[in-house]
Amino acid sequence: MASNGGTITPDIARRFPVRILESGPAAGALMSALLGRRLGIPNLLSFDMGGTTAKGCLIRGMEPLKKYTFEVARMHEFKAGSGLPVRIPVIDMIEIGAGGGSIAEVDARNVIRVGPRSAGADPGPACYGQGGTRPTLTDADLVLGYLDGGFFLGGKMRLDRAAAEHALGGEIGRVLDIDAARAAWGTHEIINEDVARAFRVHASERGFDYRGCTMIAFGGAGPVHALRIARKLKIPRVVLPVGAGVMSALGLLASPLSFEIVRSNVVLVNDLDRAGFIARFAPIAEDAQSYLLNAGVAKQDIRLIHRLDMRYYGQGYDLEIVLPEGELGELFDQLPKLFAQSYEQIFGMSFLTQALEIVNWKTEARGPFPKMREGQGPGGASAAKRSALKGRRTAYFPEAGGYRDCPVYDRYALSPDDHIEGPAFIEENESTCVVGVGDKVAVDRYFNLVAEILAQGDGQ
Amino acid sequence: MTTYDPVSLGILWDRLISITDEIVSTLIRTSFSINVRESYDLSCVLFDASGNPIAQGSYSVPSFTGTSGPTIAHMFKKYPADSLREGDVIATNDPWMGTGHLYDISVMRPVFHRGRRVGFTMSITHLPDVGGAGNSAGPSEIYEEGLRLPVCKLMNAGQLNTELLDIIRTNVRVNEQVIGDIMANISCNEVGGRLLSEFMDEYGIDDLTALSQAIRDQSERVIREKIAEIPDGRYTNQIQIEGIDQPITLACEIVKRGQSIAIDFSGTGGCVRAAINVPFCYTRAWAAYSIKCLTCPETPNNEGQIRPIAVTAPDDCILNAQPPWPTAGRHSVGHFVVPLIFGALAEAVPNVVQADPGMMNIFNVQGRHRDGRDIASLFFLAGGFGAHDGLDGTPTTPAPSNMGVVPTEVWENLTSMSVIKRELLADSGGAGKFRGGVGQEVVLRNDTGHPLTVSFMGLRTQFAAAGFHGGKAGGLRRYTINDKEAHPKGRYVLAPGDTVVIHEAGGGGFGDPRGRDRQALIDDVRKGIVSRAGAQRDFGVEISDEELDAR
Repeated sequence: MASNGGTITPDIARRFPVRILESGPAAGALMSALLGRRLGIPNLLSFDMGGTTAKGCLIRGMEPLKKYTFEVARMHEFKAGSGLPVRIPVIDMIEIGAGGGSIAEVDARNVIRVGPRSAGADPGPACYGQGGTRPTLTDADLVLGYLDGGFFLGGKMRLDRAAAEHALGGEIGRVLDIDAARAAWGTHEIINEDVARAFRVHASERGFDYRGCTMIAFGGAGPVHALRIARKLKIPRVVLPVGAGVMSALGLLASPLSFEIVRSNVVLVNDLDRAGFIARFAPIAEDAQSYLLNAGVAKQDIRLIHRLDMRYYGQGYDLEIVLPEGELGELFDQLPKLFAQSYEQIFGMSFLTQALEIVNWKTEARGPFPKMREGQGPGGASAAKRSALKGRRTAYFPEAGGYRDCPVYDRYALSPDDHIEGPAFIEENESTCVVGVGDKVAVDRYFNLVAEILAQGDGQ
Repeated sequence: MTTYDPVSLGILWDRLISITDEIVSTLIRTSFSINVRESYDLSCVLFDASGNPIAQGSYSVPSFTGTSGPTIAHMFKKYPADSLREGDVIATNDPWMGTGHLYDISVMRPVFHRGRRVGFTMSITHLPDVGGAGNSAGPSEIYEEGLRLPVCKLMNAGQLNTELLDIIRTNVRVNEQVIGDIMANISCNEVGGRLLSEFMDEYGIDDLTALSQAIRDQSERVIREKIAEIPDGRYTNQIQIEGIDQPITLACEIVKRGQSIAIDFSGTGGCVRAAINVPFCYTRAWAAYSIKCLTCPETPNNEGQIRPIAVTAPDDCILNAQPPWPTAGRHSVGHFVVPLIFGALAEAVPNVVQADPGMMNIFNVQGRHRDGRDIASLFFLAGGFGAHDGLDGTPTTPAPSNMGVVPTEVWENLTSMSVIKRELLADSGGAGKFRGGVGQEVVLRNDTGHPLTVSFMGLRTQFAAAGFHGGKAGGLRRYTINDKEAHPKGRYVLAPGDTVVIHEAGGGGFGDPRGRDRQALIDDVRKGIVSRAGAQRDFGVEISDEELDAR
């Protein structure tokens, strides 16, 4: 697996080891893309949240957005600019230092801040009872009733709610003069805001209109937060895939062999003609294609995808234009129109008279998508016969005025066409889906949970 | 009035900052000049309906934090807030209303939500050119410096003021960059307005007044508590800085009592017939910024933090220049307000002051690119950072302002000059228990094939960055052209092939050099930041071959 989400052969990986940097996080994004193809949803937000970080990715036209430079080994609180730049094609991931272990504290302004410091797994959150004393996001989710102290990791680990309350009430509550529940809500909601903000900024920089898209959420803490984050982003629907861990592995298997080459060659569009345009792409395409031919892909199965980084002459940032399928010469004539459309979509205006410049020329050679069979339900045939309602517990929802009694469902006992209305919880071994007041969840025929999000102003 | 508990306040406050960050991001992506997209010489600010600044983009020049409030007040004098309609865009580059020189344009737009005016957004960027003499210390009156726009409407109810844009286009060099940047300012504020309105919808807020009040009050409370920790007293400082022909004296008296601070600049020298005079708006902004750095550097910027700080300066001293004194290079004097204040408070708050920095170096280049197009651009370089108690100064890091230095590749592309060399200068950081940041040697060659005019506005060529608490001074800045010494505020025409060598100044050290950790010094020598001879001379430490080789 390469960092750009394509598969490469071991031989190519040995020659270009840099191309497999960051291939791990790419798996989740690919799973989301796979799910999108299966459900017929072209534009998606992929959201994965675990113990220390949250990761996001935008998927446009069934493909994860890519970028061509990223940073490794960031030294200062995950801050951009503090790492080493690497210039290879990678899936464009948003990384946020927010996860279950993120520590909540009162900042210099006297308001709550969560992260970027994390208690990690050791000592871990206060509720783990392993010596951690500082309040974390997991402690907050436990105090709010979003997690069940007796059913963490499917009951394999007990969480100490009193310890969580003590940590939140002490370090946050006493300083700000609020109770542990309000401190917990603040901690939970600040993480939701942080993730929503990261998506918003990321999307606006890339000209991606997320409103109306679908979100795919997974990871241990993803389903706990996803529905509320979606509401902040005006996203009407969240899909919680069945067996997310396995799905990520499938995502890896389901991606085609691919190799992409980027060449910089700064040239004004006005200085080019059709022939020159075609001639510049030819050697790049040939190179990219050769890697796949060597890997045994038949020539007729290779698809070439051309992309250009372009800008108005005089600007310093470029915009990637994906050339639609078609004859290159004809596409050359359409460049000004294609660029103006993309520019206007992002920045609200475009200049027709300003000269255009091409900065980078990119060609991806891609083999066919492997054929996949459709999946089965997570619990097997007998699961559906059990009663899905496994119990009730009280949980905090500001719209409901505080703690209220909510049903708890067993995800493994749900069948297609089951419907659940929030507030409610749907538990599986790895995570819990928090269904907010007014949200509605249905189970689709693949056993995915599909949540419809109530569109309205947030409660305070 | 609505009140906000700490949980809601934190969430809503961060969201407002996030909106300003998105305005910055739009501005950078759409700009045409390297001042904006490489040097980040910009700021974006959100105001409430009364014109109080409540949030600012995280990437912003510090001085603009303090100037935006007075700027919008000047705009209201001509166009009262109540008279503004949806789609109006107001602008000015007047030095006394904006940020102290003609190069910065402030662009403001009212935000309407459900038909009501609920706030304003403003972006401020440094334009690549405003006509006139070009950015240099040369002019002796403001009229020589270029186009001065009073408060005016760039857009009127959604209609672009094309006549005004034509006037600007006709009067400036590289007009496609200037007009492109102005359009980027217009469009980023439009995005800002949309985001603010969406935010208010989402949280069901009709009026920002209560939220603004809460944010500003909270900020004021935090800074007042921190100011209270500074020992009460009267603190003074006086420094010499280089002018054109003779040194200029800057002086301050700081009176700290309880939770307030008053800073007065009496004793400061008069204005000079060169474009380095400082309008008071700029002086005041840097004074407030200095106190913020010493008290609550981490808190976001807004109007509340300026309230406890009173700043005054006598009329027509160089820190309170009146029209028509020229001001283009006002930073070359104004930036010294920060080390002046830090120096005054070095004994009172020794653990937080920064020893003098090598400061930034801006020079202007005008001419013709190898391919024939016009060049008019600033080149940003930086001296070493001043050391703190417990922290070495980083190399070539601008202070007190935070603009980014221009990358070599970008500069070569933009100008067709060649950057022959950029190398850290050993021993240029002031020695100290904590070492000042080193400067850099930069070698540039005019490969444009045309004559090229360079205008320097150099600092720290006579008066080095002082060390604090026993730390030594950093190295001086130097300019040579074809191996001949050049005037640090001179204007020169480079013939094709001429070479400019610049030595960037080092930052001052902190604490007695003999107290420096031996291993840290060995690391410095290994990295070439301190030479072995320098270790002996400046730190009194002989480093052996074995120590250097040991890993």
